[in-house]
Amino acid sequence: MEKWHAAKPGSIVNGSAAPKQKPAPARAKSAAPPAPPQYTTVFGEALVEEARRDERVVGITAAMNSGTGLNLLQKALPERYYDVGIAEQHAVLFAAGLALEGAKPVVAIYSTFLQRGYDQIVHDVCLQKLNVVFAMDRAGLVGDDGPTHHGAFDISYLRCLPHMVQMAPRDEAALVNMLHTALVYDDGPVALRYPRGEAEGVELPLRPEPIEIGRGELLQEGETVAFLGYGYGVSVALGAAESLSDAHGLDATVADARFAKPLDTELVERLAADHDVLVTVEENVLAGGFGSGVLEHLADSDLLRDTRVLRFGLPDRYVTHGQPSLLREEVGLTPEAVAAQVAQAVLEPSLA
Amino acid sequence: MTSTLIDQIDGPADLKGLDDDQLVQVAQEVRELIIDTIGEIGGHFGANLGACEIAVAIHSLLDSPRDKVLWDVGHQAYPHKVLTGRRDELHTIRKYGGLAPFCSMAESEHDIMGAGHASTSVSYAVGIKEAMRRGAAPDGKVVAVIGDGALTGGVSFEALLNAGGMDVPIVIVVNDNGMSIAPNVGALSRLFTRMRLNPKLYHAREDVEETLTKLPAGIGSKIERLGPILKESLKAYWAPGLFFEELDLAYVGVIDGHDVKALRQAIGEALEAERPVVVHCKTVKG
Repeated sequence: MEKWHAAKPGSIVNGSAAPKQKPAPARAKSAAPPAPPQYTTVFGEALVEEARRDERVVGITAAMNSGTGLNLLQKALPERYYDVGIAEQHAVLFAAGLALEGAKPVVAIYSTFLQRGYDQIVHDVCLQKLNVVFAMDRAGLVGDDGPTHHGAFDISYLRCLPHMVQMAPRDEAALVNMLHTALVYDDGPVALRYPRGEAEGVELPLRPEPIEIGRGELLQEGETVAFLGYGYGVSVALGAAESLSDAHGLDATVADARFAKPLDTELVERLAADHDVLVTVEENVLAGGFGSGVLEHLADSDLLRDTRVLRFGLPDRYVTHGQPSLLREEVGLTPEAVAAQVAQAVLEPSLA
Repeated sequence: MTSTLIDQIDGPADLKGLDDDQLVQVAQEVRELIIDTIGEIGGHFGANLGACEIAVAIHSLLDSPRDKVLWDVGHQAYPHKVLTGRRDELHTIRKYGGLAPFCSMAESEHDIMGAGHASTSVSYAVGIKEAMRRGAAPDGKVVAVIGDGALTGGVSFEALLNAGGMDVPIVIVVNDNGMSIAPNVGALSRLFTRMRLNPKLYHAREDVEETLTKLPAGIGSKIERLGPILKESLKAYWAPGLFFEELDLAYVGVIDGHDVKALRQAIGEALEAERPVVVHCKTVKG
């Protein structure tokens, strides 16, 4: 069991478990808005709903029952839940076997731990083009657990694999729609990445809607600068755009790529053609990541002559442990830091 | 060589109705075909020659592709390819446009999983059988054939743990051709083998315990006095199957992997066992 695997501060008092806080009443008297749900919980609940709708759906965890939200599936539909132990390689192969016979396995493994099943992803799921869904919680900087646990590489290590579809939600509503999209897609594997911690606090769809594979979304139209975010990068991009508007009166375009693969090349080309600077934002190493994919496409299409591309993401080093907000400051992945660099590039191009 | 039987084997169904002697002959003809063909063009040789009788025994018992045979790595899959309609194309193996070097789902409905890297078959078997148990696919028997080399790969142990843990009724045929998972246990091993095979699956643990304490000239009582831990070690040394039984997998062996009749009997019983079973076959590479 995961009891005390990772205790929260204040959960142990005088050497024993602290008394449980009474849950907040459903209708609090104060007008404070409820905290946004955790991505993990949204995923777990959405998976239960998908499993209820489609009896082929099963969930697989490698000994991360509540960490992945699969405890909700275990509780609601125990016969659809598998914990194979700390055995990521087997989890992926087991899913491959299930998929071969028509089941729809969702392999819920943190981005960092999916690295441990890489050969199985390459040789067994992608090469054989099997319908396996990878749900990667903890994608990006995880915080206190540090460099061994940051999900810093999955965009890069999966983007190079033929047949793989990669998507990332910008908020919890998108996560619900994307999980549904991944499960109705039947032409190979899908990898879904989402960050650790609180979601954005948006309303969830009553019934999930599938998204067109490889189609991004334009969120706001502006000029000169276009932000193209992926996953958590979208909220950074939106914040940076707001900051640019406030500080410099520059109204930037912001788009959500939604897919790192296949890339919405039409959207990328349009953004590049209509703006001086195209800014990509992701929480993954820059090497081989989402921004790299955008650059590759623009270079291959000879569209880099008139467009400057700025990429924001994680640096080519291992990031230490600590609060995510502090780590994001350290690596320059905050709306303010991104806005400052973009402003410099646009307003004082010679200095950038 | 005068091929009389192999020319009529265009699929596993053609093995049905052949008697033991004829199956032995088919296996020998498959071996000769592989020697003649691969000797000429080159390719993975030894492991394949060692698996001829295993392939004949399994395909004579199963109804592939409804039943699923998973050949780990694929180094040992040439006899399987010969028996599943690819006999006349064997000479094209590993050549551009020819037969794939390993099992390939695109090549034949009898190649259940794609293979090439080692140690994947038991995991696939667990997943496939579990999908059948869930009703996602029609039910069938599932057999993984894994070499002793591939069995050293860690993921195969992850799969064994899971198979035993979930009690998934699959058969794992271990094609042991050299790295000697089993110590050379001589006459005692043969005794255990006979005991375990006839009339049904025995538990190695009980067999060994009983035999150890019944050894003549006071040895048995001396073993008793060694205490439980050392006794366990001795048992594990003398009976390789204990390892598997500790993981809740039944164990049958050691079977002569070139004796079609013995293989058919052992694998046949394992297929009826309704629980995960390891069938340990000793083969000679080449």
